[in-house]
Amino acid sequence: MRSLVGKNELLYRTGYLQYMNPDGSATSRTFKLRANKNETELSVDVASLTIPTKSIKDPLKFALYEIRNSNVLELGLQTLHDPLPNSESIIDNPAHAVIIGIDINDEIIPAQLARASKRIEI
Amino acid sequence: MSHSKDNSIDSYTEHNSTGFKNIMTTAPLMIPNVNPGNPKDFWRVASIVFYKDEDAKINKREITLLEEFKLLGNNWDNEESIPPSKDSICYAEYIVKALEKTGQKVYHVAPGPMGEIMVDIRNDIGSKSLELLFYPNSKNKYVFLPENNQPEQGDFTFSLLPKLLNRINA
Repeated sequence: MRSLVGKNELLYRTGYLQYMNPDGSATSRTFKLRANKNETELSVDVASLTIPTKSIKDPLKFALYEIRNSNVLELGLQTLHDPLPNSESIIDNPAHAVIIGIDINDEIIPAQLARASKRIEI
Repeated sequence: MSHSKDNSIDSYTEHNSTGFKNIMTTAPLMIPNVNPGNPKDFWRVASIVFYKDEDAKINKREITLLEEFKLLGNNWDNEESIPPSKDSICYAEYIVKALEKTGQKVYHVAPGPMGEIMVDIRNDIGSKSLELLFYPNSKNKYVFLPENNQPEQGDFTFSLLPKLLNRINA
């Protein structure tokens, strides 16, 4: 059962470590939907329901970025808590959530999300 | 300097002409129909010659990264991303080398999940950003993120580049 994530929550999103920006921040590609996976929603974790070391999975491969849900809402998007496992996934992640409302052809939103995010050092 | 001759394309006339072995003319000339609807597209008016043995200085890191991207395979990020297409890398290389010639620093280049390459150009203080996105099949886009105004997205043609760079550096 999905429910709205509160405005004041922080969200975590992982990005491929090797090709982050030179200053360690996320590139827009980190927040881009994947058409080859038919993604219509962007997977994130609700920070208050997890810890960074769990959310990042593999710190040797990924970087972890934090974004305020208020920033997501300001862009006209919504975040829904979507705990896993569910009918489509056997992964166990009670903190899982999805950002909805992103158009696959929209390049502005990924760039804005990236700029609103901040890297968390693990 | 001695030059051995081989065939190339004159970038003004687009006619085959005789060139020099260690000179690489505009790489994307190898890719036809960049923007068939616009006869004044950048490829048709620009004449920038790159020497293969020329060392990049301000964009050396980005050129090295683009070389790395050529080696990426399927699932290169463990998230099922597809590898950058040859066209995407070719366009990005051209732009980065052209910007090197004009003294414009490229902030970063990065591969994307759909085989695209992003070329990120920022102003000196990083308050404005221009992302050029080179997708497979020449679906190229730009995103301009100004300091205060609304961001803007559009189809990228090379004829837009001078105007976009002016906006970044203004």
